[in-house]
Amino acid sequence: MFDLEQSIAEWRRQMLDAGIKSPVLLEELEGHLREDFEQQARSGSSAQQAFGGAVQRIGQTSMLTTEFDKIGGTKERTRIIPAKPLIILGVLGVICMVVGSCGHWWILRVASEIGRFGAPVNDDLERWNTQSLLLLSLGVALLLAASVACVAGRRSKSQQKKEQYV
Amino acid sequence: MIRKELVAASAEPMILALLARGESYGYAIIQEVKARSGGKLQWTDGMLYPVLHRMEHRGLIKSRWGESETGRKRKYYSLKKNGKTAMARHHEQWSLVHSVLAGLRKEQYV
Repeated sequence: MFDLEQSIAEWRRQMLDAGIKSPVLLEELEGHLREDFEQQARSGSSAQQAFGGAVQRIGQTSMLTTEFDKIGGTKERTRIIPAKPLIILGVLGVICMVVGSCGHWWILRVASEIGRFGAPVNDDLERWNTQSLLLLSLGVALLLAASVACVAGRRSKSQQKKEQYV
Repeated sequence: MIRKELVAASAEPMILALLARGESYGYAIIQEVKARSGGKLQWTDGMLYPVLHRMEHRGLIKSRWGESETGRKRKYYSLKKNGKTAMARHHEQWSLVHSVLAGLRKEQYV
């Protein structure tokens, strides 16, 4: 006994195996398959014949994958991180780096002044020094993260642009 | 049957012209082309979708998910401003090809 849902599930599995991974695309192709099936069934074909015909008409999985790969549409599109948050992240990184290094430089200067007069370096200075170094590290990390995301985003965008004109 | 190169070349202007009449979806577009060409222009159904997606990426058309009469999800396509411009360009080029061919054919029988 022919089971439409089971046959569609099997067809979807074949599409996935062939490399059509985008759920949106699969949904659209499945919709087409169902419409064609219903049309054929209404014209008097048996359910099995109608489904077989619809699958044949929609095309071989390998051919579909080749065509969709040309426009980069078989996989889920990489989300390109918008530029604004990256700029904010980068600016924050630079601010942290500048404040951190200025703080560290000032503390070292004060510490050397105190050392020159023979007074012991106090706890507050040491705590501030640790904090300024932490701020400096945070700045470096933020700037690095923003740069990596920016490069990855540009690469993904140029790849998509290239695929668009294949 | 029409050669596949010509079928491929005419796909974009055909889709643009069909969508200029109002939004539509994959299955309906194929049926319309089949009916209007008397079954002589036949696309492999699945091949329409890469063309539609490419046109969407190029900003000629846009899509939205809607519902069919039976309540199932269906993706509708419609023309964008750039699509209208592209359609006019296609029309101009195809008309030129047609007029050159028609002129040559007419001369043959003079």
